Amino acid sequence: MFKFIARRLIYTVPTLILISFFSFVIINAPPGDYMTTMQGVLVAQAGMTPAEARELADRMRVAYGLDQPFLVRYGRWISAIVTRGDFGFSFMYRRPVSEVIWQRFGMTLLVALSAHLISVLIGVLIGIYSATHRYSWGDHAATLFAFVGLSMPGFFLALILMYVLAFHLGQHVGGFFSPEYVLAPWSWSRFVDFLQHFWVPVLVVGLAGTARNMRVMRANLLDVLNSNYVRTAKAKGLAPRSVIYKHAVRNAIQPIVMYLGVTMPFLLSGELVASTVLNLPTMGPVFLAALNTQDMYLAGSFMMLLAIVLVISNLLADIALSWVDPRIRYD
Amino acid sequence: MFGKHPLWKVMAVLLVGLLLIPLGFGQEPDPERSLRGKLQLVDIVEYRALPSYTEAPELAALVAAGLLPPISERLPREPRIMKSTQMVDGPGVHGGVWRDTFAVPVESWNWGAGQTQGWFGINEMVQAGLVDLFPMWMMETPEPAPMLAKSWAWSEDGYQLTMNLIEGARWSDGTPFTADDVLFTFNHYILDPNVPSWASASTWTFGGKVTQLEKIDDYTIRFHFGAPFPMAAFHSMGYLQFSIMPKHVFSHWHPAFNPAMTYMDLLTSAPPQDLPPVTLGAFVPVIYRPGEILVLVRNPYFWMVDEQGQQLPYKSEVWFSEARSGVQRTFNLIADRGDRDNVENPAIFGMMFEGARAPDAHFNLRFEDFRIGFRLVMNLSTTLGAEDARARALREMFRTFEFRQALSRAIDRDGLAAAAFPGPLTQGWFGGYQSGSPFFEEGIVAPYAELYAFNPNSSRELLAGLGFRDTDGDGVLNWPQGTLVAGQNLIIEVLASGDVAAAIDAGQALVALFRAIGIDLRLRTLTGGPLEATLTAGTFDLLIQRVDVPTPDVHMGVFGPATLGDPVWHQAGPGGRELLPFEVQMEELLNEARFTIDPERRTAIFHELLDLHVGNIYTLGLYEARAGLAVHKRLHNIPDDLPTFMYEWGMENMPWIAWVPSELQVAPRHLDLIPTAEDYQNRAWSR
Repeated sequence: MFKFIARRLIYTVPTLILISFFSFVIINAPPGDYMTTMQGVLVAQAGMTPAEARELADRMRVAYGLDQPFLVRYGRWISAIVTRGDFGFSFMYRRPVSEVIWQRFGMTLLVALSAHLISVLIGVLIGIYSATHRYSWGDHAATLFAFVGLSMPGFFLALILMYVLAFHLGQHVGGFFSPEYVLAPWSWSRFVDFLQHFWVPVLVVGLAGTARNMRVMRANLLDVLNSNYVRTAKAKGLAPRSVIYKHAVRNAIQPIVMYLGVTMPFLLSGELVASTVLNLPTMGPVFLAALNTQDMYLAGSFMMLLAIVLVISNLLADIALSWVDPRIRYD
Repeated sequence: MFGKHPLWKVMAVLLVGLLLIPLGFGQEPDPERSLRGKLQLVDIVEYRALPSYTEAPELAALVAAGLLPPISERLPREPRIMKSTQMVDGPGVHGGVWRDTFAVPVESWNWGAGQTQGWFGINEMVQAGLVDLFPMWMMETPEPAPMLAKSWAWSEDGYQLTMNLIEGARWSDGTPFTADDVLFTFNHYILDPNVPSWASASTWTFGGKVTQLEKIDDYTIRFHFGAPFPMAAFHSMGYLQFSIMPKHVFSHWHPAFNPAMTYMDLLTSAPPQDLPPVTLGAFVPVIYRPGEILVLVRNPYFWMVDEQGQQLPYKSEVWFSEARSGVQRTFNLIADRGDRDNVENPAIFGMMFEGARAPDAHFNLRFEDFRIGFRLVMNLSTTLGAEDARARALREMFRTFEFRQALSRAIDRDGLAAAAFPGPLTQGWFGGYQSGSPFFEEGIVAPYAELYAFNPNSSRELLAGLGFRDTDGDGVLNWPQGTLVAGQNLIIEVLASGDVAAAIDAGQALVALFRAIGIDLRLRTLTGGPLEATLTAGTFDLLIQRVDVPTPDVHMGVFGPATLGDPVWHQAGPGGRELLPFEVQMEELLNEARFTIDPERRTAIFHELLDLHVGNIYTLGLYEARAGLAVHKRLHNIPDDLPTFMYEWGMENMPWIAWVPSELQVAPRHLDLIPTAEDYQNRAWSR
């Protein structure tokens, strides 16, 4: 097992290099760079003539090394990451990229993982209920919920929730805390305030996943419940609960576990969208702004982090799968 | 679904209900609490020593503890007195928190280098200029108000302006403010080409000469101009364009004073986390959690008082929640976690109505005159950005009056306004100045109504008269013979900013409207860097713009050829530019306006400019909207007719004199962070 893990980790290195290269290519694809944005601002707001602005922007390009050819810039960036853990400089925030990302990455992962966890838990439980009470009212309700959840765009749901909460229920929306709690020390009321804000992004991000897990679980479990060994187990006189949970679910859940790793990036991108609408202090708004202003080191670093998360979550999912399915062995 | 009632009945009821909404739109302003155009300068501000002064209790406590000098030593010899005439609720009481929201990350505290502290009112809290343009909205005859410059006089020949600075004012760290700071700002920020300040040497060039600034003594300065009486200079002496920089702080990083430093060091100095910064503003930033909140506390050395001698500001603390977009400010106000909101997006007018009309609503909502204009501008430049034959041919067409007329008559302006938001908050707009502008005159634009009347048949006739025919029968007109792209489809691209939803909506409507007269209009949305690059390079055909400023006397470049880079739809290229005959007239008038003191002549000039603008279809107005101001009911001293923007942003200039009765105040929490001498020791600039 450890050899397997070690080998997988070694394979990730060329993957990450490729991903970092393509991230850098994409981010630098639109014409201009951050200094072009600045140039426009100088003309529009500083009253500089276009010539003056262009001159100043060129000088800043030289100072920041933005006038170097693409491969030179990429090479410098990637070697700084590998040798010093220096992800570059963010022009927008005027701070090292690592500072900008660290502050927010934790919350980003918290939202995405919570949504992930809850979507799996609730989706699986509802799926089990749906399969064991096929065609009942509960099953129909769950199916309707699944269709709505899968087809509703996350940002739309976020907007509706914000509107209802703010205008009809008088609740504060946006961010993780009400303004008076942002700087307050931890207390019970602060925790409650956090939960009052936290459930919205978790719901928005997790809804589609919940619906999907529910449908998959239902279908798999129905398949499994019709198989021979389940019939045998029932015939042997085992309690229904034991049949379902100990035997059937354990097999039916394998596809879900298998896809746990693959669905993580979808949750992260769902989190990006939700946090932009909900004004959360996570990576979503920062990433969007970085792409808009071509703050390339910040955008490139974040894309690399997404890639690392994908790779690690795939690895964890594979390990989890081997735990659930004893037939799978890695060497 | 609605029981016995047929659907059409239900729809009718809903429709009537919808139409009733405008009847209850906002509250009417109380004349007793309205100030627009009523005051003189003497009613607003004066500089005088008062027999005694009082300060906020938290400052008195610090004085008692020996951490601050007494109030009489902190205030200038003659503080700036905010007269009670402008206070609709009278002088107030100290205390409480101003709760607000911002959506742009704090760049740094180096405001002179073109770096923002977050906009949304934060900049105004930490910056102070030589003059103040904001009070002009209250004046019968608008003129700049004194700020750090308390009085001034022109020389006989008008080439020199001598200004007297306030004496004894101090920065928030106790260092005296003197003429040295003003000269430092002017010579080493504004005039220095390596510093991206908000104004530059070209702003200060009159008669072909760059203005010089001379220090007469510690509190007297003299401008030397290259042309007599350049009145436009005052518009560059206020907030942002001439916000004073503390010399004792930034000379540490300026290469002209410290050879060990480069300009990069200057531009990366004063990062947002280096708190508290040195400021002359009413508040001092003390906590910044990026993406979450910025907290400011009162400045113990603030140099303004009210008529009773109470040191301003009344508010003790400010909480600025950081958000991704301005919509969060609306949500915060609705949830009673914020104190104000500018209501400018037609899409949320309905939501704000609902909120304000609730019986227990905690905020007032008032809509002002039409100030926000949406217009379509045509790229007239022959020297910049016309990269292919199609673009060049199109520019020639845009420069042809009949073609502009054809486009104008294809636009259903009232329809666009109604689509944005039905009711009296929006209306069709010809272009030129918004009807809420101080220089708008109905009588000037009325004669041209025909040019802007919705008449697609007339458009088609005009285009046919120019030679456009649909030769290939695909519904789109083809370029006439003899043009650079003869036979090709008439395709025009219109650019809209991705951040302005209303502009995109208008663009989509225009696609349909132009199709009806045979033009294939393509909408392109851009944001951020790519948008700026396109505008700077001039590589666009049409552009949908949102015009926020109604003041052509201050923001000349928004309305006409004020500089080589203005307006954005007719920028000069490397070889100069070819102005149309009426543009030449406009340029002359604008140049004259820069040097005209007489307010009547100024008004006449801007009326003439409006006439030229609208009469020649310089831009294609689409619709204009009223902006609204939503203010928490507990805030006092907010005039009923306070504009969202007139010369300067309205609410953003109120924190000096806004107050809340003690029983309604939100308790401050960070008054222990009020800066004292200790907080300014061993800082980055003192090493």
